[in-house]
Amino acid sequence: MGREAYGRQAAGVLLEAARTELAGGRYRAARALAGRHAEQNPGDARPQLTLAEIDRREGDPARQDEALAGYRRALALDPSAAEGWRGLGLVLKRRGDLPGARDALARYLALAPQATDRAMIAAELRALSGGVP
Amino acid sequence: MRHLAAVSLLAVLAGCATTRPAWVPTEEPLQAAGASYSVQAPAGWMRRNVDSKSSEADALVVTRDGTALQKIACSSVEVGKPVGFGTSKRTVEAGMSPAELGELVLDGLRTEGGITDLQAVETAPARLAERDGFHLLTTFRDHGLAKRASLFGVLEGRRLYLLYYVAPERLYFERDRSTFVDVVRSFKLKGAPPAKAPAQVPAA
Repeated sequence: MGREAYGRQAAGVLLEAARTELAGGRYRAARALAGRHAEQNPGDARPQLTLAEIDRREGDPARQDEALAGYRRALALDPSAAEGWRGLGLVLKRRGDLPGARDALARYLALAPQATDRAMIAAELRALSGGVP
Repeated sequence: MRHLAAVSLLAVLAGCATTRPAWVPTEEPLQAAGASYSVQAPAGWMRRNVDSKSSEADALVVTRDGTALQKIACSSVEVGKPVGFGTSKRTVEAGMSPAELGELVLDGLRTEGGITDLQAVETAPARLAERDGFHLLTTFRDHGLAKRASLFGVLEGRRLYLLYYVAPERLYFERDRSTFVDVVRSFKLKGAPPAKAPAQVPAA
């Protein structure tokens, strides 16, 4: 296996491991794994997205700016990353940017029409629109 | 030696006389010793007998044929504490939306020992105890056995309440699904719900 192919394989493992650490609330470990991948692959949206997810889910208000910037970086690299629009919408909602949140969540639903949380996000969207469907 | 054996036997018998039974028939309505909720337990099921002073006093677990075959459970978690599934350290935060709470619970389930292939089938808003909450439908393998879980949750004040049903996908889940729906309908929190639309009965 060539160096580049090995790098791609290893990157997938790093991100998977970062996601596992994130699910368990082990944010420092998750951040280290995703950060390592981000450094090695600056053009890849996935580690940026994972880092943003870590910042958002950690729930620390001081990290919400980081989360917002992270989602924007990820979406600049890959505007079709549905999860990025979802996360961006949830952060913007928390910050009180309701039009921004509406726009981001609507994009998420448009990009992921089969998402398992479609009903949940649609309900968030309705609430943001004052109950108007 | 004979004396020692007699003493040991006495100790065992004394222990038997004072030990609480692990499982007792469900009474109706059912209210956890330390909890601020009540539910109507299915008749003829068994309830895990929890000491009212234990740390699990606010948790209810009922089953008919054994928890490996079907389990309906209710628990609550204080804001600021881990969600209570697996080894997850992610904590319940005040003001979390139903979408965020559903995500938190799913992450917790992912860290449960013995659970693999966890899939969220659906995450949807739901009403529980006349409050806005969420419903998760998941499938997973529990030590290799395919199972399905239906979970309702609601954040009320400083506590997240969770009510869920877990059973093997094959045969058992469908068999007791309507029983769980009845339990969900009967779930009540102490105190008046916030003024809102009348409760909708969620489908499990």
